Amino acid sequence: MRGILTDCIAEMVDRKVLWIFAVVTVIGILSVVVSRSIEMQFQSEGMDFQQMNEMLGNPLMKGYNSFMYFLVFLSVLATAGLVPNMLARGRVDFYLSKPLSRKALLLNKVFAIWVVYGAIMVLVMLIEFVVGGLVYGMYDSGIVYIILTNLLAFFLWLSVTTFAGVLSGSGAMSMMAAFLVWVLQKILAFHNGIKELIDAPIVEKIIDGLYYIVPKTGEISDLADSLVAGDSVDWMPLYSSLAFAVVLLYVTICLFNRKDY
Amino acid sequence: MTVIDVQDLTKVYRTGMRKGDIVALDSVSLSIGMGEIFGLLGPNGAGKTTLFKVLLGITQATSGEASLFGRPPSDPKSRLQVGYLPENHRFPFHLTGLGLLEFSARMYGMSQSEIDQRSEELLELVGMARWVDTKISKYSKGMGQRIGLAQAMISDPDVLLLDEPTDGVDPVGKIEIRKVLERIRSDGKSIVLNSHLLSEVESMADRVAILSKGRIIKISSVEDLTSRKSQYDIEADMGSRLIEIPPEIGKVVVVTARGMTVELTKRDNVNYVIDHLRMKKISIYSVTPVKVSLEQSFIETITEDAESQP
Ligand SMILES: Nc1ncnc2c1ncn2[C@@H]1O[C@H](COP(=O)(O)OP(=O)(O)OP(=O)(O)O)[C@@H](O)[C@H]1O
Ligand SMILES: [Mg+2]
Repeated sequence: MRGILTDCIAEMVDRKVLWIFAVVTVIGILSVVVSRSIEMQFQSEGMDFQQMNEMLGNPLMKGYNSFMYFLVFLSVLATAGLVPNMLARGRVDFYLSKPLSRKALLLNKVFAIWVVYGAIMVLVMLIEFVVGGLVYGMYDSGIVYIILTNLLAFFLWLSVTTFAGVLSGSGAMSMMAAFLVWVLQKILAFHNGIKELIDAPIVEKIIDGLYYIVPKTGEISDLADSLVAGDSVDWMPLYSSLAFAVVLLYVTICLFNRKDY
Repeated sequence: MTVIDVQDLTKVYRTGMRKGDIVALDSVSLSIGMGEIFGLLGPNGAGKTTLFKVLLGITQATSGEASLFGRPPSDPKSRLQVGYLPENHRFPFHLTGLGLLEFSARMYGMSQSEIDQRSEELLELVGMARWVDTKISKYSKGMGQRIGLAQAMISDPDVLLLDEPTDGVDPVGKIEIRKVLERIRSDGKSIVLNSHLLSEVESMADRVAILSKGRIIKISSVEDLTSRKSQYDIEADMGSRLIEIPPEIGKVVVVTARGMTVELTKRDNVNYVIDHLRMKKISIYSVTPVKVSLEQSFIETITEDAESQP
């Protein structure tokens, strides 16, 4: 890794993002405890926990999944500026004058960010899992699905922010790109509904095309819920999003190779 | 052995508007050998930094060839034996001085024991041992330059590309840096020095290139640039005697009671002048070629060039 991983850790520590994750961990723990006490309230009023759990479709696991979705969101915010920061005027010369190809530099950087922030998310998630387990006495191995799919979603977001970061050289722009993709995928999740409203075959084709191209982190999150519940799953959102990320990273490298600094 | 070779190199920065394109380098050719200290001079915007950037692959040439150790800039291996101190650098702020050296060393693939030994040595050398654990964001300008120099030297490179290394360094520090560079030279390594401090370049460089508007307008040894081969100061008891020199030999520039300055058509003619003075029984005390500072020579070259342009 040529020191890039260590550097990424040093950068993360320096930016004090650990504090934010610590605060979120505490909030997460509190919510588990509070929800448990609310539930006990219900129980004392004669409701059955087991029955309610089935009715709501495993709320604890869904809660974990949403919590990790939020962690991914935080990590995207925290990391969107890292690549542009490396490529800033006066700093990029330092990196590019070393005997490392641009491709290796960028891929190492992206991978380092993914590993470092991914590790923090997994750690926070495991703390919540243990606390939740202590409180509810329930340890569901489905947590593995939740962690894996969300790490993958983080990688998708990284490919988007890296692309925008290399293209524009600005942290704000790469954050906006991520937001744009997020809005787009939210809209496209209703692609079938939109198609019914519009009665033009070409527009329908475009919407379908966009739907398959744009990464679908929302649907990947739903996919995790289905996996946990043991329902049958449609892997398409996962495959197509992964393909999107790989292609986008490839395009980013080509772009980076041709840039003057 | 040629270390840096540049042939017919042109770099045009596209600005979007066709008329606004900037020609930063215009058919530049030069080659620098091992063990040479080479100075790059030129007014602001002449293209000195751009030349470094093209050599290091930070910026791509529009046309022409550039190579480091025979490898093109597109090959990362070409940078294995090169250290670079960028101008106006902003090294990663989250690193300490020592952290910067370690990170640089890792990017060259150095082992931990090499890193420890080398960074300790260098921090001492550039006078930064006291500041190793301070964040770079808290460094003063001169401290940044010192750590930047150490960072460039971390892999013990054969070539150093230094872009204004003494910019912002205090006078004592400048002398220290000069000493460091002289030590590197004595190890037989090459240095390309880009500096506006011409006295510094004059005292260190073997050869210089003067760039203006992206073109090399002069490339020669410092010796040649600073001596006016054709002019000699002759210290002699002239009294009130007048001296005539035939035009094919040269001409008298100025005569005083204690000597004269002559401008000769060729170097050997100085013997004719001496014989002539001796025949007239004039005592000669010294004959010295007229020297000019590199600064003066630089300014003359630049003005001549500007005048020759339409
Ligand atoms: N990234 C860039 N985009 C567009 N133009 C640039 C870029 N970098 C440099 N230039 C232009 O190229 C020309 C040469 O710049 P360069 O930095 O090489 O000059 P320099 O000789 O190093 O000057 P200085 O002594 O001020 O450091 C300038 O006209 C500059 O405006
Ligand atoms: Mg410059």
